[in-house]
Formats: sequence, C-alpha cells, structure tokens
Amino acid sequence: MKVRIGFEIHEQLATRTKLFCTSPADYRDAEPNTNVCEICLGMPGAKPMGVNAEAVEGAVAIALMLNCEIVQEPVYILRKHYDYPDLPSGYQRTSMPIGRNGELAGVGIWEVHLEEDPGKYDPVTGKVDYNRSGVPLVEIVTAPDITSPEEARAFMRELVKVLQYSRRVRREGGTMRVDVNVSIEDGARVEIKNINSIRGLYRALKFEITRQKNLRRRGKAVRRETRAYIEEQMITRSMRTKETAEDYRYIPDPDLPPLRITPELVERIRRELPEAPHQKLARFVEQYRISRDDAWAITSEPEMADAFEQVCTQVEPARAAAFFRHIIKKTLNYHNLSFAESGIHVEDIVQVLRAISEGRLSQQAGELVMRRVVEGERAAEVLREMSRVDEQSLVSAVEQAIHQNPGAVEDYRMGKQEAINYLVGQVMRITKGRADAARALELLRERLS
Amino acid sequence: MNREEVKEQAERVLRELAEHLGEIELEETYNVIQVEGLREDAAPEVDPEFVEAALSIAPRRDERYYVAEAGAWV
Amino acid sequence: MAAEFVLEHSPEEHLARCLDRIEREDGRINAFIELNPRATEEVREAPHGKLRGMVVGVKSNINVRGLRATCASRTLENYVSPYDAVVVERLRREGAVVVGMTNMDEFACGSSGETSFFGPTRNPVAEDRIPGGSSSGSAAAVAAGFADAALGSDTGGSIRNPASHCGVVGVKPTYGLVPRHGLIDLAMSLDQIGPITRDVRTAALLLEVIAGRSREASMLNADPEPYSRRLTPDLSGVRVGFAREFEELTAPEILGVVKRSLRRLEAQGAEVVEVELPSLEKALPTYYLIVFVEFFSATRRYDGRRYGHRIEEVCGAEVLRRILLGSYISQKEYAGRYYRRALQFRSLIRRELLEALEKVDVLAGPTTPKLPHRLGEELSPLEMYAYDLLTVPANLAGIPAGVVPAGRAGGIPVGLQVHAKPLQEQLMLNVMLAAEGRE
Repeated sequence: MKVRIGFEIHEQLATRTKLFCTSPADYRDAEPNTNVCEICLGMPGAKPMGVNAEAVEGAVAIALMLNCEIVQEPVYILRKHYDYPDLPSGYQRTSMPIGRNGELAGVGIWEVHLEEDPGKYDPVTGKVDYNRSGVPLVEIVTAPDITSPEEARAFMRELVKVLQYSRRVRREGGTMRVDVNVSIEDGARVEIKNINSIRGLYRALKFEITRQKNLRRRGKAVRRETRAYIEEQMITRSMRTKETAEDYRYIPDPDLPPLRITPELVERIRRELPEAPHQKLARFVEQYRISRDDAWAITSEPEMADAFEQVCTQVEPARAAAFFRHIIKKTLNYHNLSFAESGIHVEDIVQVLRAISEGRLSQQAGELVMRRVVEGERAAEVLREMSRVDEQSLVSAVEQAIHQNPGAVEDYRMGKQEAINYLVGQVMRITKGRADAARALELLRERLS
Repeated sequence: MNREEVKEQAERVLRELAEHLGEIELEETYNVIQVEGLREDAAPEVDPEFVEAALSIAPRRDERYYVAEAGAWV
Repeated sequence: MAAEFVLEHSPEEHLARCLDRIEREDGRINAFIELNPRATEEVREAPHGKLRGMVVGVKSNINVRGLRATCASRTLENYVSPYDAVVVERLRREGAVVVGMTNMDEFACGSSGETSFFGPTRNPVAEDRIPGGSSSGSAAAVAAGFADAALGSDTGGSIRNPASHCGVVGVKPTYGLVPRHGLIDLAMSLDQIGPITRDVRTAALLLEVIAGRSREASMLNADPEPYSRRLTPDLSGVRVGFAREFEELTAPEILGVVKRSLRRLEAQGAEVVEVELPSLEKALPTYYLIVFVEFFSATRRYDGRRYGHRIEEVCGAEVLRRILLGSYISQKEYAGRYYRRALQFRSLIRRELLEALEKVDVLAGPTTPKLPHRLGEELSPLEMYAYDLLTVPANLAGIPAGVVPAGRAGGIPVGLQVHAKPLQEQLMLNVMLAAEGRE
C-alpha cells in the first residue's frame, strides 16, 4: 500500500525584534510576560507596526535555499481566527505564500510563508506566558512526496541542515514544530499535530501508518481527521474530524498593507545567500582534498564547517578532517550536543591537534581533552595540567633543588624570604617547566621549616 | 431583549441588507492604498512600567503568569 | 494668525471652570464616563506647546494610560489602559490636558448615544433629543462647554453625526492620516480618529497636532500641513459639488438649512455645481456588511480571559447582533456571497466618489437624512442604520469629510457636511470656515 506523507514545518526566525512590534524576539532568559508590549499582547486598540524586514528577508532567503520562486504579486497578511488561551487577539497573523514551487532532496516544496508565534499555554496549570507571542515563524509546506517514515526522517534531517545553513533560524533548538499529513492508497488524509522532534516525527509516522493499515485490512475506511501526537505514549489520538473542523474565517488583515517583495530585494538576498550544505560539501572535497565521508560529517552543521575551515589555516586539512569526523563528532554524540551548543573553540582544536602531532598527546588522550572542553574547560589548561609531573617526581625534584643549592637554602633559613623563589625556579628548571609552581612552593616550605 | 430575539432580528437585518445591496459584476475588490510596509528596527525595546501595568489588570494570575482556561466561541 | 490655542484665563483657572461646569451639569447630560483624577496636576506640569491649557475629552474607545477605556461596555468595565494612544501622546506633548473619558455607543455600535452601558447621553442643545453617535459624549461635552475640544472616532459617521446634531464642528480625516494605535476597533479599514470642537480653527489646530505618520503600519505615508495657519474663507475659484441624490434622501427641513449654507459658500466666491452619485444608496448595506466582519474579528480578544467578561455574555443587543452576523457571514461558505460582494461595491463607491471629485473640488451636502429622534424613542436596527446613509460613503472611500454648524431646523442644529479628495483637508477646512461665517 502506497503511503504519501507531507509536512508543514514551523521554525522561529532569528530576528532581533518580533514580527509586528519592537519587543525582543529572543525571550529565553526573560521572566514570564516581561518581553511584551500592547501589540504582541493584543491589547484593545493596539495596532501592528510594519512587518519586520529581517523576518521577510529571512523567509525569502529560506525560500531561495529551498529553490522556490519568490512571488511577484502583493503578499497579503491574513487573520486566521481561532480560540485558544495562547492567542491574545483571537487570531493569528499569517502571510500568503512568499515562495512557491521549490524542491529539496526530491521533495516538492509547495510554499514558504511567514506567521506569528502564539504565546505558551500550559493546559494543566492554565498558565499563559506571552513572551513568545509575535515571534516570527517561517512555515514550509511540502508536497506529499515522501513514502516512508525512514524517508521522512532523512528528509527532515536535510531540511534542518538547510535551515541551519540559512543562518536565519534560531539555533537554540527546540522551537521547531511539525504537522504531518499521511494518507494511504487514496485514503483520507490524516493530519498529525504536535510533533517537535525528528525522533517524534518518525515514531508518530510509524504508529499512524500501522493504525491506518490495520483499519484498511479490517475493511474500515480511514476518516479524514486531525490527530495529536502524544509524545510519552508514542501514539496519535483524534483531535477533531472533518465535520467538526474549524473554520478560520480568513480575512486580509485590514491593519496591514500587503507586502511587496521587490526584485531588487530578492536579488540582494540571492547574492548574499550562504552556501547550501551540498555546495559546501563539494567545495570541501575539492579545496581541502578530503574524502566525501569526511566532508559529509564536517558539513553536518554550518558552525562545525566554519570551525573546520579556520582550523585548516593552521593545521594540515587531512589530519583536521579525521579529527573532526572521528573525535569531535563522537564527543558531541556522546553528550548529545550540537557543535554550536558545545562551546568548542577553534583554538581548542588547534592546540589538541598540535599536541598530538608533536607527540605530546596520544589520539586517545586527545579525545579525553575534547570531552573536558565540552564540559566547560579550555584545551590549553587541560593540556598544561595533563603534562604536569606527578607528585612523586615533584618531591624528588624539590629534594634535588635543595641538595644542589645549599647557599640559597642557607639564605632562606637566615630569613631571606626571596631565596625560596630562586629554589622554585630551580624546581621548574629540573622538571622542564612541567611542575605546578604553587605546589612546589608548598613542598619547599614544608621541607625547609 | 434575549439572545434568541437578537438572533432573529439579526437574520432579518441581514436579509434586508443583502437584498438592498443587490448583485454586482466587478473584478476588483476594494484595495488599500499600497505603501512600503517593511519596518527596520534599531534594537528591541521593553517598557517595564507597561509590563507591570498590563499584568496588574489580568483578572486571574499566578505570580508572573496569566491564568486562562481553554474554551470555545459561540 | 498665530497657530496656537489662546486662553482667557490661566490654564489652571480654565480647567477649574470646565470642571465646575461638568460638576453642575454633567449629571444631566452624561457626557463623561470617567474624569481624570490627575487633570489638575497635569495642567500645572503641561509643556508650553501650541495646545497649552486646552481641555480635551477623549472618547472611551481611545487608550489613555491610567484611565479606563471601557468602550461604554460592561465587557471592558475594568480595563484600565496601560498605554497612551499615539494621538493622546501628541496632545500631551503640545500641552493639552485630558479631562476625562467621554460616553459613547457601546463599542461605537450606534448612531444615537443610547447603547452605552453607562446610560444615554443627552443633547445639550435640545435636551429631549439624542446627541447622535457614536461619539455622543465627545460632541455633547464640547457643545455643553465642558471641554474645549474632544477626540472622537468615525467609522461611518460617528464624529460627524453627533457634531451635526449638537451644533459643533467635527472632522473625519483621510483614512490613514491620523494614527489609530490606541483606538479600539470597530472596523479597522474604516475607523479614523478626529477632532470635535466649537469652531473650525480649533479643529484645524487639533488635526495638525494629531495627524502624521507614526510607527504603526499605515496604508498611507502622509504628514499634515499647518492647516490652522493656512485657513482662509476665500473660496474664489472653488467648485462645490452637490449631489442630486442628497435631495432625494434627505428630510426637507434639513435640506432647507443646507441650501442656505451653500448660498453662503457662493457668497465667498464658490461655484455650486450639481453632480451624480448613482450608487449612493448601496453605501449603507456595503458599509454594514464590512463592519460586521471586521467587528467580529476585532472582538475575538474579549474572550473573558484577560478583561474579565466574555463579550457575548455581557454586551447589548446591537453589539451582539453585529458579532453574530459577522461570525455568520465570514464563514468560508458565505464569504463570497456577502463580504466579497460588499468589497466589490466598496470599490465601485470609491470610484464614483473620486470621479465626482474630479469634476469639483469638494462635495457639500447634508450630514444625516433626518433630525435626531427623541431620547427613548424605539427604532428598529435598520431605522437606526439609516442615520448613516450620507456619512458612510466617506469612510468607504477613505476620503476626508467634515461637518460644520449650518443653522437650525425647529431649534435643532443641522450640520453641513463637506467631502474632499484624499489628503485635501486644507481645502475642506477652508470651505467649512466659509460656511461657519465667523470671519
């Protein structure tokens, strides 16, 4: 039985301000309901400001990266009416398509448009936080060209990568929401809402396809309906059927003139468009003479690819590539972090690679250093610490310094405090600078008291 | 006047208005005057006084949260 | 001529006199829903701008920080505004003082001032009559001398209708000229804030202060001219259009007053020309169908969660009727039959008006087709809507229109309405000044 799957993907755009007002779009460190003004709170009388240019440019850039045509005609902003506590005006503003007829990895992109995010509502406590209200979202609607949960997962990974590469979406993670349409063999289309991870998407599809196939096998029809994905139970549950479907009573928002996306704007954005993942991959193979597999791993994230290029200005690319693909990727996977979140600096990588090439550090120890970097330390410190002489060698170095410098020992005992600094210097000389100076001082004082 | 009476009267009003309006064959619908609608911001802004005043009139709240229930329209 | 507001007394003294009059007479007139408790303090600290000391009433659908913007509805009885509308900010910057929030028809849904949750307003000039609406309290406050001026809002005549009935000046500017941020919606594509005053000069002064671009999304990027400085009653070479349809739709006693007023314009050098507005009658149903849909959308935020009451549970009959109709006709299956058709007619009406205004410089005529009824007299919804017949075209077309007292019929004031091309407020005000006949 042929399965057809299509997506509606929503992701927050990384703008400084909200879509229709100047409240901050980044609400992550804000107290609840502080990141607001009368406009994004939908207070009586509040009117939207003009549409945030950054958001429009973001949507255009993403549409271009998804190979869409940018619409020439005026783009109206519609009011989509529905009743929910997180929606302060009782309607959500959503634009007509900005881009159309795109394609990514063999999947058709029907349209790309802008929307405003609602607030956050917790149905259990009834608490509403409007900090998120009015943050710009880009919505991407695909054709139902996907035929299995595995394909769906692969496509979503590719799409996420493209969005990251666009540098127009939030990188903090956890803001993506996906609605999925699934139908089997000309059966009714079922929409699944409330999916917010690729893993969730895969599981929801697995469940839903089995459910629909079972219905068909038993000779029952699949109802056209909207279902919710229940994360904890990995199932989908019916929300509403076609008969009770909501009528959003769309009208063009009378408060907003339609957007006109000029060919000049599109051209400027096209010129400044960042490299797409596949373009970067090809360039890395060509420019750095590394394998496709290495390049694939390194370009899985734009921030990692950037770091790689910087490392290559100081380290031989082949060695850097191997380190990225095997050590860094492994460390990130272990901690379940993206490179952007990991806190790894280019400098950390360069130092570890240098230490390895100079024979001061084994490959294995290199991995250990990277792990500690991800946990919050800097490679330089870790390396210094790792190369230090152990306590026993330090004690014997102290003994040796005392033995070889009776004059300084005598001076110190006579009350000449500075003499001990000379002895610390001697310990450092004996250990070739690998001693912890503070500990050496401590040991000298003990021995000479 | 109760809700039913209002509703009945509303139906009458609509019927008469629609009748009075009559038919029309016109391609164009009313279009607003078109102006450049994009906005460039310098930096985000928050007015803490507004934030407190807005929250203070919420009929139900819990600390810094509004409290609301899901429901449905008429 | 100095383009600023002139007082006989000190600003403090002037405010005290207004407050005194309000105290003595507003129990009867009911023009105010709430007075500003900080007015006396504010007048002392008012900046020395061109409106210094001007005492202004603000319609209860315009946000004034710290005062209640109730829209004269129980729905918002507890809504203390946390922000100033742009127009209020601009008034304050020029030294005007908000004396209080004026009464109105509930959510501006009405043309009589009778649907307020806080009780009806009386017409100060003819106390047994309605003052008109929906800016009933604003017009009454100015007519009664409670305030020098008031802000009203006009969606289909809500400034001009009560101005005409109360014998004061009212201006509905070009759509988009005055920022709406802070004005609580009736119908977003039609609403405009404008001044209500006792004379044309003060209206011009107030308009030049509140008009001009702001940060809100606008359909128009235009700034005002120094209207008050450029005012002139000389109408040499000005062509004034009078539509034949006005004659058919208006009560004879009103027409008499209006025609005498046109003679005054001729005496100032104008030429009066007859024009045609064949679709004028379609304006009313077009207007109401659009209002229902936009009003339904605008009221979705009054869901009871943040302002205490759910609108459908506490509002009056007219507001409920409009919400029900808006909800019904904006459904997907009916949108084409009603809303889209109304938008097509809107296009037609706008085109007709602009074409008429190609042949003449302004259109002048009556404001309402009939005189205000007695307070308490029961009207059917459609009889009530009929008051708006001659005022809704300006809103549908987005053009400016102003009303100036033209005389009286049986002791009741009648206003002359002047329409102009978009952004031709100056010419419109000049014609109004000539009709006013003060200088």
